Amino acid sequence: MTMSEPAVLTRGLTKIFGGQPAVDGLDLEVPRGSVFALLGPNGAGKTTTIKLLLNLLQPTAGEIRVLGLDAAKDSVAVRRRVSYQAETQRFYPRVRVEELFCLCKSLYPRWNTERVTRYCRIFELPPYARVGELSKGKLTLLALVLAVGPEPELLLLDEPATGLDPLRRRQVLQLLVEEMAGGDRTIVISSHQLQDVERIADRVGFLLRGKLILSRPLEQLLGEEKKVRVLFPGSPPADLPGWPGVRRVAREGSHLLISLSGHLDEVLGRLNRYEDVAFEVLDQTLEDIFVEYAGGEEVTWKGGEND
Amino acid sequence: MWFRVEPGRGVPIYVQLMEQIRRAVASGVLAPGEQLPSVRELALQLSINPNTVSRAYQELEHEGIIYTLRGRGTFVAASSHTLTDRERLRRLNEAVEKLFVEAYQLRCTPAEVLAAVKKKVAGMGGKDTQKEEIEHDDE
Repeated sequence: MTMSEPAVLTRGLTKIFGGQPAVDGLDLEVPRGSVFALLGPNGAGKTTTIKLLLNLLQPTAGEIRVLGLDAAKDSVAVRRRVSYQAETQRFYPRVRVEELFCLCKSLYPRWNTERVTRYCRIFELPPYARVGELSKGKLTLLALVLAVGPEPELLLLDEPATGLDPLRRRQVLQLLVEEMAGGDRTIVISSHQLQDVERIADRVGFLLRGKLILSRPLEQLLGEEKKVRVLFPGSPPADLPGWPGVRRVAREGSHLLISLSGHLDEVLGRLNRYEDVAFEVLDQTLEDIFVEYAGGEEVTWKGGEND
Repeated sequence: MWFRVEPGRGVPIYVQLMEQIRRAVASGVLAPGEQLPSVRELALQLSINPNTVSRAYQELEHEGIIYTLRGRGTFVAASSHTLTDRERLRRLNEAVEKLFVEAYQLRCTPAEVLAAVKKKVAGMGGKDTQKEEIEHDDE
């Protein structure tokens, strides 16, 4: 039965810190074998969510199932099948890289020495260096290698490429692609590197103030979130903000900028009924969409006034 | 064959990949019968999700531009006549729409636009016969 369950499933997941909800009624579902990117501004609750999944934090309310198991009751079994790369690394500074690997090998039955060795060579991680001597970037890479070594079914990565140079970031992506290929490994990744996310994510979830405000396949999201810049020769239709899919209408000089979430064909059909209307459809990047959803209010045209 | 995807262009990556393969086939950079990299190879080469490569390959296969032999790989098809006339015209219109917007913003006159199109189309000679074949096939 558990095989058919999603890799992650939460219902009404809530965590309150000092009276404030850090995670607020989260219904999260991550299909097995997918790459799910958890996006959102700083403080949106991404790290808290990941820690809740691992039972490193206990929820104030709600239900969490990981790989078909109860995150709290079966936490030992969950930890055996799930790896986590934290945002910041804490290791004993005097331990050597190779000693860490030896320790992990004894702890995890499926530890993949061959793969770990290869990644270390790619990342130029010196086996005999003490962890305390490694740079911040190398520590991040070490944590990533430690996370993939046990061949986990679920990989939770919190900002895995922060502070890395473009070459290393690309190598991290290649590692992730390799981990994805040929298997039903699930990856949940929190990142601000939205271009990297575009490369690898199947699905994105946007967290804002602890709430999941959007969870959609990436291709669908990019296909549906459009802007339409339109110039009406006369006064624009007063009911425009209420058209299907219209999230917002902003004024841009003589033009109006419509933010659409789906219903593009219908909106274009309606626009075409106006004589001499000129419009252009603008694609949006994941970053545009992020800013749009996370950003504050812009000046919005509510319809009606005609200046 | 060297492919390149640009995240942050607002176009889904599988669509970018499809565009490039279509163009490479149309221009002869990829010859009929030529083998394409495997899903895994291309995913690693471009650092993109293997599902994205699969999706692009599936859609191109659906269009008849490439075909897959189980266990052998993915290859460029001999001809790509499988698009319906309606779909061909829809895509053409889409391209014309883009041309229109660009021309409008450049303040081009209709004569200038037509002249530019005629000049480009004049070089298409060989494709005309192909077009007739398609129409013939449909009957």
